[in-house]
Amino acid sequence: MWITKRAQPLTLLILIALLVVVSISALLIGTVNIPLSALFDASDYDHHSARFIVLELRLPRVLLAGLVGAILALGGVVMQALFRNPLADPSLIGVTAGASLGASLVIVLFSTTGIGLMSLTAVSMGAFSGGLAASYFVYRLARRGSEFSVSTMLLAGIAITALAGSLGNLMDFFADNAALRQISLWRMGGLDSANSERVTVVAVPALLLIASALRHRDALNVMLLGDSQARYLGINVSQVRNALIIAVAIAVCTSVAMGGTIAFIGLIVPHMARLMFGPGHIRLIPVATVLGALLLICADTIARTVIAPLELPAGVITALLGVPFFLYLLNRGTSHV
Amino acid sequence: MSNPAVLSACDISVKIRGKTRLQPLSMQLFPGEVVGLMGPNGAGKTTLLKALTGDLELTTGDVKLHGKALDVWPLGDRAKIVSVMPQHTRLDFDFSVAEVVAMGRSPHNTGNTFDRQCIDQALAVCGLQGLTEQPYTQLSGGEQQRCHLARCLVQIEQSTPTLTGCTLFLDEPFNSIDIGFIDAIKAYLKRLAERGLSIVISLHDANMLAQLSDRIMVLHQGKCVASDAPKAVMTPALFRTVFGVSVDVISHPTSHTPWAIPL
Repeated sequence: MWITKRAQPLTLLILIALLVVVSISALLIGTVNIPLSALFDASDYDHHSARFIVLELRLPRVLLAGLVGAILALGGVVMQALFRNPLADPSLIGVTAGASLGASLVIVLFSTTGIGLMSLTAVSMGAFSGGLAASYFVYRLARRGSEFSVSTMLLAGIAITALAGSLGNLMDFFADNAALRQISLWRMGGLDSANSERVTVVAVPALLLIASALRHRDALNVMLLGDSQARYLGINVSQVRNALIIAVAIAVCTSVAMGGTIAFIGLIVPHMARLMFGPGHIRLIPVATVLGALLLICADTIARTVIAPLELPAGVITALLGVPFFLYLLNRGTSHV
Repeated sequence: MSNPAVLSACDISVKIRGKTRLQPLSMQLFPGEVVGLMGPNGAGKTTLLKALTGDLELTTGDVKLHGKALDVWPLGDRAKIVSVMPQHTRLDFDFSVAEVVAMGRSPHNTGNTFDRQCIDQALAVCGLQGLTEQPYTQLSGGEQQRCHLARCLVQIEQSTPTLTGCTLFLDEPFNSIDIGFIDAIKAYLKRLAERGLSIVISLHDANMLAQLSDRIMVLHQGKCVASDAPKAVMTPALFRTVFGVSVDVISHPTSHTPWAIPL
């Protein structure tokens, strides 16, 4: 732990304050930088366009980035605890690969993104169903009768991911050039389609995930000792695991459907949070949530400003920043691995 | 009370993938009783412990805790009165020693002050006072083992002076622990038994088992071949048939328990 127990509550408050400051800055920074005065001063000649840009374009995007980042980070925390492995991340249950396949299928078969419901495009829905189907298969495979094997789930996740990957390649093979570009852009992840409906759709499973993780915070600690130890300590392991896997699967599927695949947040943020605050979930859950939101908002802001007016996919930035940090962690030779 | 036994197993047997691991046996465990499990590697000591704690599905028979079948006990209630220390526990996350030991109090809601007392006492018994803030993953094997033992000891502690009705299961608890610590832990286990705690313990050291136990159950190829007081069980003939070794059994000079010396 880098931060002593006594300093931890204050540090969390600082992180939350930082999240607020970064979010507000992200609203004002962009292709057009907007001064705060233009927002509140009705006499400013830019007042209306400034309000439009900030409230209709940037606010949903910042919120979406925050929610997706929080889901991925917290999903990582929960998966690492369930798998008792600090290297687990949400994509292990096949969500990402399944969603990717679902999105490719819709792009190739319908070659359109225009149709949809409540501005949720067909591609998003394809991704959501694909991710959910893949994680369902993985979960079923890991269960034999009433027995549940975490190591089988890990292997099943790898197998389903490989299967979905090769089916996705098959899709690529039959796709035309326009569809190919769309598929690869989708895979890179991006939050440019954010709007208030999408924010609402992501907010619900995000809040559910936070609530169920907090509810089971003590069980998550004890489950790190293993299934039978947790049962001896009074935890109904299968019930807790079911609830948490379902919450993670739905939240991550939604976030992948809305933001594409965003690399490394789910793996790295739990590590950062653990390095700073230790492995206890009562601290890990809020810290990872705030840190995940903070990092993805930063990454997305960089993605849309660094070569403005062009926008990079946020997933590219998280991997570019995430990989060196991950290598640093590995190299540091901490006892986490 | 018609049946004072804390735990009673009736005709329990375990088959795993067609292979018999435990042949039908019945046993009862009474308040304050220490039952030692003895037997060569693979004899079924761990299988019996897992069967008694509901961690393995029984092929036949049933286990009752206070007259109520084990699987109908709510896990949370059971965890308050039954504590189990398995042979191995893997933990790859950097909790401090104090945090790991404190997990043992998680089934209880006896308040912070009392929990703190239990934890401090268990830390002292297991010789961990100097290591409380150490990250678990940086401990040596023996220190990790003592840490889990302390966790199981705090789990069984109650706010009442008597521990009657509570059970502690220990599967090879002294693995890789130094002789110096074992003495203190043994004395503490005896004190717990005097307060009414029932203990089932498996050890590969028969002499130590004889010092601790009121009754020794000998398992051989999944079958209970003897169950009696240490003095009656520990005979050269038994060591020859079960372990295939020749021993002489003498009496320990101070504890007067049987002591097997390999010849």
